[in-house]
Amino acid sequence: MMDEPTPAGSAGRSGRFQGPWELGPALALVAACLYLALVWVPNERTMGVVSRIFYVHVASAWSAFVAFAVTAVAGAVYLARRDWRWDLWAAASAEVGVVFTTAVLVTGPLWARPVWNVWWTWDPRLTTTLVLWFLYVGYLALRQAVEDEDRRARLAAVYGLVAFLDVPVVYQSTRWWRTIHPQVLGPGSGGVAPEMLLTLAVCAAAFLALYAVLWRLAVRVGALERRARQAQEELVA
Amino acid sequence: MIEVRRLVKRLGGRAVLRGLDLAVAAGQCVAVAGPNGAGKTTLLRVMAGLVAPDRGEVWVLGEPVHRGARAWRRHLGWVGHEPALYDQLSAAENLRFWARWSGVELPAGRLQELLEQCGLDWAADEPVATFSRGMRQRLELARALLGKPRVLLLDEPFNALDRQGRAWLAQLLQARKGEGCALVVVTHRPEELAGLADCLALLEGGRLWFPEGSDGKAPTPAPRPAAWRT
Amino acid sequence: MGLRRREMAAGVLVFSLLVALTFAFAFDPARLDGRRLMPGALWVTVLFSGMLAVSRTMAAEQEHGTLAALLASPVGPEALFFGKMAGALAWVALVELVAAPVLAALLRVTVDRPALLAGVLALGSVGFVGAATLVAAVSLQARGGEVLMPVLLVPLAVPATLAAVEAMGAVLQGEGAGALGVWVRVLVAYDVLMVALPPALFRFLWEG
Repeated sequence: MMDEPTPAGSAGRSGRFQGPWELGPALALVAACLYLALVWVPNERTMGVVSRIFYVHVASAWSAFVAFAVTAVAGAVYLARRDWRWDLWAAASAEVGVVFTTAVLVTGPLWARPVWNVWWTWDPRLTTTLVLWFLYVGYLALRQAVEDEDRRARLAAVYGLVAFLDVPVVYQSTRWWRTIHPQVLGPGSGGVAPEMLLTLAVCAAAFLALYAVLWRLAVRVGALERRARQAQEELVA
Repeated sequence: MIEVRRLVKRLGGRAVLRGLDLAVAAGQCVAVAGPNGAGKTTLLRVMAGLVAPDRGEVWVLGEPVHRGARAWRRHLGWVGHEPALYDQLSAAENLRFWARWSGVELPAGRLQELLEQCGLDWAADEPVATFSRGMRQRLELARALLGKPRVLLLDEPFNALDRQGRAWLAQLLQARKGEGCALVVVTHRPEELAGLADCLALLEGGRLWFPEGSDGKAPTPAPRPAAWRT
Repeated sequence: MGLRRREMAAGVLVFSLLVALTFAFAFDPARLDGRRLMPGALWVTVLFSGMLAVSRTMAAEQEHGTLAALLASPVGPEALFFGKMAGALAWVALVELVAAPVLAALLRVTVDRPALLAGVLALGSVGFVGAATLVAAVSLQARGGEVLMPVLLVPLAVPATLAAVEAMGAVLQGEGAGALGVWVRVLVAYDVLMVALPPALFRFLWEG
């Protein structure tokens, strides 16, 4: 192919999978997180043993938020530069973000059932997370529904940007709607034991590392899919 | 008037235009022909600023088309595959709408003149939904000529017209050319442009080929249509 | 631009009446306080008729060759956004004008402060229609766009939905400026976002 500014082969460089050991650091951190959260850290006084799920829950939520921020920024860069790799990075991040958001939505009720006595409440953070999940499932559905690569990238970037900027407004509106979610780190929270803070920090690091690894894998898969498609088109042509 | 430099455009991973050059001067008409799927329509859309190129530049009336400049569009006449007409509106309402949208003054006299020019003054108040394809195409050309464009980009303008209509259109375009308008006409039947086009360009393999053996510039002395191959 | 949709007029008006009927049947207004039902019923009417109107006008442009000519004209894509939005907004306003009194009658609600209710409804509609216009332009370029549109739009419209319903509730319940003020602030923030952002992004939607 002539005048191909980004040869298909370079797709591999950004996301080449080095082998299973690439997962090592992330898995080690996750193991540390699980040990600290499930064994080492003391129970929270009022909530008892279920409080331990909180570390995984919060760490997933933070990673999801980072993932969607990456999607929005990468989409904006794509619109400015029109380099397909930024679109690939945005899409991969959204996929991983949806996985983490799903984890938040699953761990939330598990915790809420014993503590609040209900599986689901329309608390602002839960509601915002649910809306977030819908927004990015929609983002992925949109990508599925557009054939042309450039058009898909442009439409997804625009939607990803608007969706991300919508999130603070969603959060604010649901916050005023009702607030019963524990403000663990916010003002008015009681003292948090240093062990709990350490556990939360390790878990946050672990889930961010997990995000990074999964993102790289998703990028790799996306790049390979693109290459396969191009090879197919060249064969047909 | 129109200058296309080193234009590259990929669609769905396939390079449709591969480093294409074209220059069209005032009062010149270039016919672009080529096999189906060669990218003729894409080229026209890039020139009209509807599609961004991956590489290369398009300049129209001294303005870079793809860097946010819009003033040149005031002088652009565009006729796409499908007529840009609203079915529920009458012929006159369509012209009035497009004049208002583009900021063109359209006094009653000028409206009448345009309708007569395209031979539709008798159907001025009929909804376009009742029009035949040929009538729509005539109205579409009146629409494109609303703002007295200095650059005309036409995609298969002869397609929907009968023989009489084709003669009418050739005459209309000839008149615009005489007034210094630059024309690019995409067609799969270049013989229809005999006598009108100064130059035939074949789009094949992502580049323009000039059967007359020019260097990417449209030759100024019009080559004879008799020499054309399709 | 708003005058091209005569064909849809009857359909959407009847539709809004049907929503009103459905709500009246689903939640027996004889036993439930109509003032609690009305905000939701009214907003559902706005949501559906707005979505229908926006997607119809946008699809009409794409079926004909008009979109390319609109974009090739000297006016920028921002103007296209505002034109589409204004047309849809006029339409939604008309629906509201019909649906609000019908719903009030069917749900047995007396509106003490109609001007305030109209104001709140208007604030909610502006942001919602802005978002709907952008989403329609996005989703109608995809396969199965008419199905995709609500999937993309409803989550995006959550702040407008929530704040408009709550604010209308506050108005109908005769609550003071305090409760109302919070929701008006959300609506204004959402309106600013959805009127400022789409025109800036609109030009990216159609250049390929």
